[in-house]
Amino acid sequence: MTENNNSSNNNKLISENDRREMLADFLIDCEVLLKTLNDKLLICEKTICSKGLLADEDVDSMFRAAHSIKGAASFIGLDNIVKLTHEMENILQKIKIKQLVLDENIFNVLFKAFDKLDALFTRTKETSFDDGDIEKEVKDILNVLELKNSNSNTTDNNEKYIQQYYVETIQNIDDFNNQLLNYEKNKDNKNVIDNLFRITHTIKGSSGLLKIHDAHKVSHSMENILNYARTTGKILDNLYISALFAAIDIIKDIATSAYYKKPLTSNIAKIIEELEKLNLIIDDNTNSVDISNDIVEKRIAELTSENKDIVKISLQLEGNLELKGMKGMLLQEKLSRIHEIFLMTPTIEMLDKKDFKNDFTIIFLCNAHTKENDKASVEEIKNLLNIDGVTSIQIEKNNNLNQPYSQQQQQTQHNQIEISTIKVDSNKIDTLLNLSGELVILRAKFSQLLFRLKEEHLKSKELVNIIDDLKNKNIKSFDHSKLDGLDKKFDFKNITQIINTFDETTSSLGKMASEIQTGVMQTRMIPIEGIFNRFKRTVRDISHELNKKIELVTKGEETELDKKIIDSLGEPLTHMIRNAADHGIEDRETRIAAGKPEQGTIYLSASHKGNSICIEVADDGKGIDHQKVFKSAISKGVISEEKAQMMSKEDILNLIFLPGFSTANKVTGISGRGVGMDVVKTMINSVNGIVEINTEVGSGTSFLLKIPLTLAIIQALNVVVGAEVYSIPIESVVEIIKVHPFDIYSVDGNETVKLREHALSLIELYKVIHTKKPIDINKKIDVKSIVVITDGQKQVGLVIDDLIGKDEMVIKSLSEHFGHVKGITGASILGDGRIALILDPLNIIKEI
Amino acid sequence: MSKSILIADDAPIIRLMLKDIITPLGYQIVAEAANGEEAIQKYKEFKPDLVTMDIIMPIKNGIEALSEILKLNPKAKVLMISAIDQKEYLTKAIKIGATDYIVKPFEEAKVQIAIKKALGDHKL
Amino acid sequence: MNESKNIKFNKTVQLITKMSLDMASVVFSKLTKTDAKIIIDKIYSDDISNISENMNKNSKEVMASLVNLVGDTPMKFLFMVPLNDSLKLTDLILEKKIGTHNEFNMYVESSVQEIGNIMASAICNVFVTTCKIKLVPAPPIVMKDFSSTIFQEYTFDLAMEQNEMLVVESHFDLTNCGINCSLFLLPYLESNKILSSIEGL
Repeated sequence: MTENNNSSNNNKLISENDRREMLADFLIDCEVLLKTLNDKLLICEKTICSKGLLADEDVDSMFRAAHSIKGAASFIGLDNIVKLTHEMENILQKIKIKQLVLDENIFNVLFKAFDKLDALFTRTKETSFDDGDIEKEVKDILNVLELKNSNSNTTDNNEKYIQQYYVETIQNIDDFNNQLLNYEKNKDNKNVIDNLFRITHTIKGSSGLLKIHDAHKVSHSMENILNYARTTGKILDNLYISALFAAIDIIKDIATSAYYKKPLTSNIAKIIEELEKLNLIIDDNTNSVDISNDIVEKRIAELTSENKDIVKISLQLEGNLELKGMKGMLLQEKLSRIHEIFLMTPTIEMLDKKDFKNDFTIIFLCNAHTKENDKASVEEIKNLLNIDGVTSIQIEKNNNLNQPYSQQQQQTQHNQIEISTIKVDSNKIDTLLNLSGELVILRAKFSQLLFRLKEEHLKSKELVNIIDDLKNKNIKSFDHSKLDGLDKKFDFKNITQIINTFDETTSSLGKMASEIQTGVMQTRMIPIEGIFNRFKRTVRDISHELNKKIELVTKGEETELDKKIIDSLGEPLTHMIRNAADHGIEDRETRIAAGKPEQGTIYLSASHKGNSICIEVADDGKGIDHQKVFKSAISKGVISEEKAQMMSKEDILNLIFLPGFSTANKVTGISGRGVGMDVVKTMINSVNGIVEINTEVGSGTSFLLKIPLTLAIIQALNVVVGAEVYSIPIESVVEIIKVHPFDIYSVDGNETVKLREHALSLIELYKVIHTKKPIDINKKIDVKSIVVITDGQKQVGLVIDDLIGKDEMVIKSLSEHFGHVKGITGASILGDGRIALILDPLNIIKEI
Repeated sequence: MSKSILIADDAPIIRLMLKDIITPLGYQIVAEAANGEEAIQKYKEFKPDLVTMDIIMPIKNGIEALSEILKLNPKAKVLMISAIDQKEYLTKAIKIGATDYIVKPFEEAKVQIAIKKALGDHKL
Repeated sequence: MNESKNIKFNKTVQLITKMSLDMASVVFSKLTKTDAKIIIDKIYSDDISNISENMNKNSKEVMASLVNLVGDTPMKFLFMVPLNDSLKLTDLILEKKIGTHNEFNMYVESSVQEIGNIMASAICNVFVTTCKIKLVPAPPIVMKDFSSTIFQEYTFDLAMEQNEMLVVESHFDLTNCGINCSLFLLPYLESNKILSSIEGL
């Protein structure tokens, strides 16, 4: 009964009645949250079995569900539930930031905890207290957490940095791809080679630091190739460029697998072998006696830390010297008589070994003081080492050696950039976004409270009037002096003032909440440039694969999108671009025969329109022939011939979005996931977007994606149907019309009206989604209000009872709690506290 | 006063070739030697600014002559003349303190630069 | 001593030998500042008596440089140039007009000597770097006589030990000069065995 004692402490603050009310709310809310947890845990189980990747969103929603339950439970004093959910929260947190990997063992612990939680919940339902023994489950969780701590104290450090390594390396990989694409187009650009070298060097460094050996090895080989190009000025041919592209892809694979703790998907041994072959060719061809700049710099650093004064001597020698090793020895001999030599590279053995014809360099690091303890004289050293075969000598003294010039330059450049941006963990931003959303809702609650307060205020005005009246009336046996006092006690003016201030403050709060929310959302907005640039690489690869000349033209790279949307756009866009390249753009001969330029173009553009983002993927290829689609659809049995006959051209084109449809007879190397536009459409719909097709046979095709700007806030049209309020996303609303009963006629049992030459099907919401049938269904109203909605292709008329108006609706993660409710994507809270259900026009239209 | 050079080589033709190559540089050939012993003698006598020393010579070879001359004058400038395969001798010469070396068969321009550099008359 | 009749260099050693001849022609060209082309090169083995007979047949007056190659795989090196051509060679080396030298003085002798020396060095160098053995030329000897005589005298000690000889014979032509010279490389039989058995060859 110890739990009860704790609860009773809390109960001192709230009355029994209040507790009962809060408990009721709690039970309802948590029912939903528990279901979420259950569902997500089942998904986890499946993921573990199939050795897949756990989605960040799933972990996130489990975390938040546990968190919410904890919060609500703590109000009521359900301590067991609080404690249990707290520990569950801890584990989920660690999984979220990738410090823990959800394996079978951890899953079992988590699931058992959930079972216990469920039991406690049931108990609470029955007895209004959460009696139960949570000791075992908590202990198990703590064990997991501790095990993690004790096991990986050394890898802990790595874990901390792995995320940073991953993020930075991905950025470097993107930069590398861009630079290499530039180089491929214009091989004269020396800066590009320097950049490529620098990027590879950085990747090599950080990989080495975190002991990611494969990445270190591959980047080292890449560095060799780039260094060769850099120092000799030679141009890299396509063989090398392809190898570099393959190598950077490998590094991406390695970084991803290191971060997500998943196995590699590519065969790195093969690529490493190829790189090594190329390295050998370089070695044989030319100045293989590579001065390893790394070694020199490392030694300089070492010597400097030992407080030695050093001199760096670089000598350039003729390539046609017969006895190069001998020359090296002569130089070494002469120098060592006067100065102690710390390093010579390349060594005499290396000079002797290979037979090369190019001019080469030897570097000495020696003591700045002579053996007689004099200071080195640059003149003397030059005279000493100026022998037959030496074409030039550079001498640098200590201070300049500590940081190579280029590094210094980079440092200052970096510092300048760092002032204006900082990297923020996107989880932190998510948290802020959630909080700002809650702030908006709180503000709505404030408004509501204010409204009620004003009502009371009005009532109290009544009271004041009555008192005044009474005062004026002279009633015997009534003590007027009491009334006098009342006036002073009940300062109506004061209350009015307070209410006015409250009003203003709530307004300000509202403005601020909105601004905070907008501000936070802005932080999540990043330019679409990132993925557009990646597509350049994709198009380059595909055009090589298919042996077609294709160029990607982009517009609107600066358009900013929420990061989540950009992440989910990646696959569909890649898919569409591949399709355009593969099926859209014809091969060279066909194009030339058709009078088109040999080079095909794929256009990719992004722009803001109102509350949405418009992204267009277009090509100047052969277009989609709706007759072919027609035939293919029928032959594949995707649609019956009768139905197909009735379809308009647009409708037929839209058939390509149906699953099982594909006029391509073979999968042409597309990434092995779902083939077909149906997958694309599904992915776009999942971010509440729509896809439109525009095509002309012979000219080309254009896909237009419209995606609402954020997932968290939408502009919606609020309507009343029956007893409920529904929010319809503005993108889906075409228009609002009024129809007379006699305009309505029946087709196939469906009510239809004629709308400017088209037939518009009408739907009654209760027929489509799970909602109450309106009471007076048979009542014939004169004029019906219809909201015409679209899913991008079809249009349908939704019969409504009343129109509330346009509003900004915050969709909270409540939407997940509803699981798969047909036709509803989420819910929101109106200012008056009413719940508005957010309609999913796509699903509704599907039902017709 | 122009700088002085001693040519030591057992093949007269080589001595002749070198003379033809060096004279245009403005230096003076003060003596010739046909073997190592003679080279040492002539060095003592003429104290030339530079010696060109063939490695393989009868009586005393170039290495021994080099060694003796350096004992006489540690700052002596001696340019070894080596055939391509005489690496061991050359290594020894370098370790003892030869100033530089050229490899037979030589090119006129190269010999001239090597001699000028050895005499400090060719700056980079 | 009965050696078998079919002593041969193995393929790799043949290749290296040819490389060394190439090197010899390169240094020869450099020294004479003309293009020395190899017009014949043969690698064969034969009875010493046959070889002598051939030499007798084609004997003429020559200036020759004899260089013993000393080391792990000893060989005899012989460079011969027709007497009058040796004058021309000297002119070439000294970059003088052809015809300048007209007597067989120390310059002519030392020219041939040096040619022999330098070519022998080049050949040794190739063997050393490819086979990783020790091989250096001894100081050369210059002779002026009939080629057959010189050949016989030079190979006397070889003939004492073996009935057969391995011969690498090469003839050079100096372009635009009308000078032909010949070069003989005669490895001891032991040397051939050693060369053929070197691993990695």
